[in-house]
Amino acid sequence: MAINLSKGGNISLAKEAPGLKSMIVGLGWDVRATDGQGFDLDASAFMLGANKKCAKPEDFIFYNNKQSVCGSVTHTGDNRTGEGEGDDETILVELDKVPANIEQISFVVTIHEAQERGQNFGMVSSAYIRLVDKVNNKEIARFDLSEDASLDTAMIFADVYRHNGEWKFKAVAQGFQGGLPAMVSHFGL
Amino acid sequence: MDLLRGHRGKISALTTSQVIEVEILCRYKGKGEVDISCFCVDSDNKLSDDRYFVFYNQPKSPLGEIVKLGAQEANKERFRVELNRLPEFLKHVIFVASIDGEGDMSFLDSGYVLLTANGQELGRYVFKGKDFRQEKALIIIEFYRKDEWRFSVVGQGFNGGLSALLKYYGGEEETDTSASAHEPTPKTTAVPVPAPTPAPTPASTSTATTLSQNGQTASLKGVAPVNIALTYRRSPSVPKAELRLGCMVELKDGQKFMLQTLGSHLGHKDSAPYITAQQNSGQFDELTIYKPEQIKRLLLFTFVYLAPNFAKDFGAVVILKDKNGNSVRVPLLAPSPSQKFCAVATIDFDNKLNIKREECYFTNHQFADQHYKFNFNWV
Repeated sequence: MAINLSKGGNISLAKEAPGLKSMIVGLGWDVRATDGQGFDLDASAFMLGANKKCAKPEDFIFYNNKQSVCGSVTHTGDNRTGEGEGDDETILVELDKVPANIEQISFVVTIHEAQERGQNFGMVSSAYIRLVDKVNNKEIARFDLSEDASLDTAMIFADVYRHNGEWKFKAVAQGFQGGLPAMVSHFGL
Repeated sequence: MDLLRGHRGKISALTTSQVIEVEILCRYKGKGEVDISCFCVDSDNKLSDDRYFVFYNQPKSPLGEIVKLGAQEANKERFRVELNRLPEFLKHVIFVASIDGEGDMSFLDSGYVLLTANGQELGRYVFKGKDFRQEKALIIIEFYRKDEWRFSVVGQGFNGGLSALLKYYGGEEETDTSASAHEPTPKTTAVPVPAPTPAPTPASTSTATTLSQNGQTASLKGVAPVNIALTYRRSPSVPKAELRLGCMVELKDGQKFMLQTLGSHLGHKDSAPYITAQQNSGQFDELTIYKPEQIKRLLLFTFVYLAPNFAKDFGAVVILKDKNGNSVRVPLLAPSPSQKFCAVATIDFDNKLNIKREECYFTNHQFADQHYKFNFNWV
């Protein structure tokens, strides 16, 4: 059963996906039907050390740096309009290949140039971000961005982190001001 | 509460009332006026029932669920919406503003939408011309069902104006080009609104008319072939049910035929009745009339196949289109829950095809024949 995360939820979902090995973060939205600048949503991942910061730019996985050096985290490509069915951007994570110095991975979603374009999630149709267990294709968590984060332009969606030798998942769903650049400095880059 | 563009939330978070008043004002600096209207669309985001288009020519919906409260001044409208009384199949209530005149929404001085219930202000969204660029029609705000009624402050629009907006919702704008298409016209209720400044569509002067009241008529010049298409949705309540299209026809020489998109009565193109029936894949049956001038009279019908009666959510529409692209649309608005045959329209020919809306339900073909007196030999 997938859990629908409410805003600010901060629940451990370890029971939902015991022994999570590999996962997909999927971001989807509808192409803008009205006239005006398109909606360009981006999914990104920050690979963090014990201090909850990125040690180097290579640990920030996004549309311009699609794979981590270790190969465990892969961004499958930038979608700039939302065209296509299902997930429009995905990030794959092979948890057993993540280097030992990485303690946590945080997943974020942002609207590209949200401020310049005067956009927020509520203006986008059917925008969501979700986490899927890649092994059995089960959806672990989903957040409805259009409905439940309508006035936000950026969000920290979720963290996966090491705990007693296994990976656990925590829903964060926390709105964030300033878009991707502010996220980058928040995570120490 | 100040509402912002993109704002969404539950109505129940604003009020316990299900009766909301919506006041919209657009102060326009350009030449012309801003028309404000309200309409409902179904789960496919389609305008399937024209009666739920509330504007100055049609000030309320059939049961008064939506009522226009009378314009107090130019560029301003007020509506009362009783959300809990709207039919289940209508999923969105959409409030739009469109410019009848020159310029675009960047010429707005300012505007607002104000939501109230029982005289209490629930929320207000204020907008300015600089929020827009070349849009000539805007979706201001919408109410929609998602578990419960919610609101979305949209503030987005279409450069192509109301016709582009309606096209997105599967509607057509009625254009009054051929001053005659309607008889001494009662009031026309087609997906309404006045023709705005003609868009620079290349050489297309075709007309599109919707017949939404029984007895209402329209004409096609009859440039053959004339295509008649039926579209509808599968209904979850009767998943196997299909709709089929057909006609009973009497030619000028007295010959009578019945054809339909089922079985072997599929007609002929090159010999009488000069009409063919084609069942295409999916919910899309067609008739084609090759020699309209041969027709004395014709009854266009649809019937339910593989189920005992009509479903209320078929959303069936029959569209007649001549070779020049002129079209007449007949939506079935009141499907009978107990019968399976629907007389859609009658057609005769005198230099043009004259189409009269019927939407009259019968138990079967034979009863319809008795009523329309083709007098087929039923065995």
